[in-house]
Amino acid sequence: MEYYGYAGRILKVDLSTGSIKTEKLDMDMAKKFLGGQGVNTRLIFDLLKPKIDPLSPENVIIFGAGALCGTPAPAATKFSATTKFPESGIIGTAVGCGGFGPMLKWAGYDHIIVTGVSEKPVYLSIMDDNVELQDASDLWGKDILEATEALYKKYGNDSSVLCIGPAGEKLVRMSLALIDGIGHIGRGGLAAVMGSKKLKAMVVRGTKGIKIADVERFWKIFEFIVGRAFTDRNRLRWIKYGLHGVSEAWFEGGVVPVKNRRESPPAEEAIKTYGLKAFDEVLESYPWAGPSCITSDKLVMKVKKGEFEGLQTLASTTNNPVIFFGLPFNLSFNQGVKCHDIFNRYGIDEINGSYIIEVLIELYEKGLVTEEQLKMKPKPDFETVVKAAEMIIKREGLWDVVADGLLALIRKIPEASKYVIHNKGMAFPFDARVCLGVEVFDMLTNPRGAQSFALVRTPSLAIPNIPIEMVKVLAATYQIPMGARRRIFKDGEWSTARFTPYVENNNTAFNCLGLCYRFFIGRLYNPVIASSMYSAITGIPLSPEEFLTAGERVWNLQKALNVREGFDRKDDAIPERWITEPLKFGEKELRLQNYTRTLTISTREEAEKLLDDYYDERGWDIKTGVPTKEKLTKLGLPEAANLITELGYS
Amino acid sequence: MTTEERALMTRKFELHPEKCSGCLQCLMACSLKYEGVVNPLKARSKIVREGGITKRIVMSENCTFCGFCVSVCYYGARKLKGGGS
Repeated sequence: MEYYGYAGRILKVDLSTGSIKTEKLDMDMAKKFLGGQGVNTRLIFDLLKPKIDPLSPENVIIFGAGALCGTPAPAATKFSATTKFPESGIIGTAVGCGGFGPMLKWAGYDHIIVTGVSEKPVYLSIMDDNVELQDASDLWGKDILEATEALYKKYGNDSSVLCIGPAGEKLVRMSLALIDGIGHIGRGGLAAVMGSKKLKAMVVRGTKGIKIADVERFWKIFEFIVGRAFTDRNRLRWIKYGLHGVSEAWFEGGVVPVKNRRESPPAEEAIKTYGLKAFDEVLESYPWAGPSCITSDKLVMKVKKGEFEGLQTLASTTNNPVIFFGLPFNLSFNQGVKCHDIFNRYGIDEINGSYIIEVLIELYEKGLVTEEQLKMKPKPDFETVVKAAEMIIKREGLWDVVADGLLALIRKIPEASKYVIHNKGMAFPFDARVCLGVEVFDMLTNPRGAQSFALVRTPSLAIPNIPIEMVKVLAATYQIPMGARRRIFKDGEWSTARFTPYVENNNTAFNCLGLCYRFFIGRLYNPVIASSMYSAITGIPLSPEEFLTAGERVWNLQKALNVREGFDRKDDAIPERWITEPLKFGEKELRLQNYTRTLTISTREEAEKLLDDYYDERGWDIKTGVPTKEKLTKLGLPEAANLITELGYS
Repeated sequence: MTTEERALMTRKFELHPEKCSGCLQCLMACSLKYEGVVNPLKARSKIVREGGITKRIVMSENCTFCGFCVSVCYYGARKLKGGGS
């Protein structure tokens, strides 16, 4: 059989026995779930037993390249990993950018299923049909960048590497892996799952290739997308600064709260210390794009003067040094870059990792943790961050608990629960009191918790003050049905809760195709363009409606799996502190309000009403927040409908 | 193509590795056009990277300088002298 777009094979690796097999990709499954996150989720539905320990040999990792990965379709770089995440216990899919997805396709595989546990450290080398488990004892203990470089040296700089660091090896649940030393993948402990399996890394180099069904049509759509990219007047800014390009606007909007989300720092000072001028003074930078990305936003950063002069590091989200380290801990720009480098090398999730240090500082101030427990007096300074990272890796004393994340900390110190702002154990990178946009709302309802990176998704509805006329245009662009639009737009207002499911469906479908949805890339596609591109590449007809339904199908299947694990409406709740405490920003006190700031949400009942609207829009049971049997059946998921019934839902 | 012709064609190309992001569009487009499949390793030029930074862009012996790679470079790393992007 001739495959177009797809490689047509799945690689199955059993680490317990060392068995490596390939099997054909089930094309009926591929058509229904598209690829990437979709096929991953359907495969894990059958493979993962209920309620297992995520760090036990029974856990499974399914990696998947998006359906368009490995082609020049702009920004088709996303590689996905589906597993049971140990930090939260949820089953979900992480996605990351880099060469691994495309290279895996060029080697002849769409997915990798990893099961079991190895006795000794290994890495997986995939050189076309020559796939082997290799001894990784020389790599074990190395940081991510060192280990990645060692594998490049052995297999060539044109190979691609997915690797874990010391955090993953030490089963730190607050850990992730890096693709090519730059693309983050797997907040919530993908690295710990790999570490528990003694799988240090995977390296791939493929000399085969991917065919395109209708090359002429492909180039026409390609040129159309490129034309859209060049209408972005900020394109060169994204390439030069990456997401740091929006930092000054974020400071002005107060969207980067500090001190455990109690206040947003004054914009003027933040711009002076961390703005674009400061970036230019401190850093030399080089653009870094995943294969096929036509507007790159990743950078190789080199400190050109001052402290840590000569330090070279890679940054996927280029404002991480500032928003997760510089601002919250009063660091210089140089120190922020150093902290980013340390966390990346260890493979500690920067969002949860930096946030939990902020939490510990507040708990210390309140006397809930002691200097003896922490082996330090935590303060917002450079020494605290560096020492904390080291202590997390060493897992000594209370840091053994901290390493496992916010939920572990709350279990150890129950009084901490009222000070921690999280969803399903994941820290929010941004704050709903600044703006209750779609991205922030999705961090409540997302089965993976507060995992999405607010303000960077398409359509981006986390930025305050977007006129309602523009929101209506976005609703039309993203093919939201007319009936739904009547529910979303009422009395001159629009409902974030009701808009959110459609963004989730759209972006999930993007993950299935392997398309990036950071806003300056995601805006290049919409359901019409994405589905046309899929059809041109694979030769399989796909309408925009089918594209969105596939996204909805995958979202519902993922939700059903997590209902099986015990997650329901209670886990989607808005954090108490958002409802009861204002966020100080200069003279202002920002309270939780609807998007247009015409309604304040100050009670639990008012907050719960938002979830009612979301579940209603999803066609789920409002009382439990669980997909109904009827909805799952309608989406062509009889297996999930049966599961829900067995669990006692209807 | 003779050595002289090749030297002449090479001079028509401007290569700016410092602007190259490593997106590989040039190599993917080349392999699709000439080999019928997408894979940068089958392209008629290659990009040499170290530490995530592009150091060199190397045109292979079998490159005909058709310019297709130039037409899909959106970072200014490959240009035709006197115009084109």
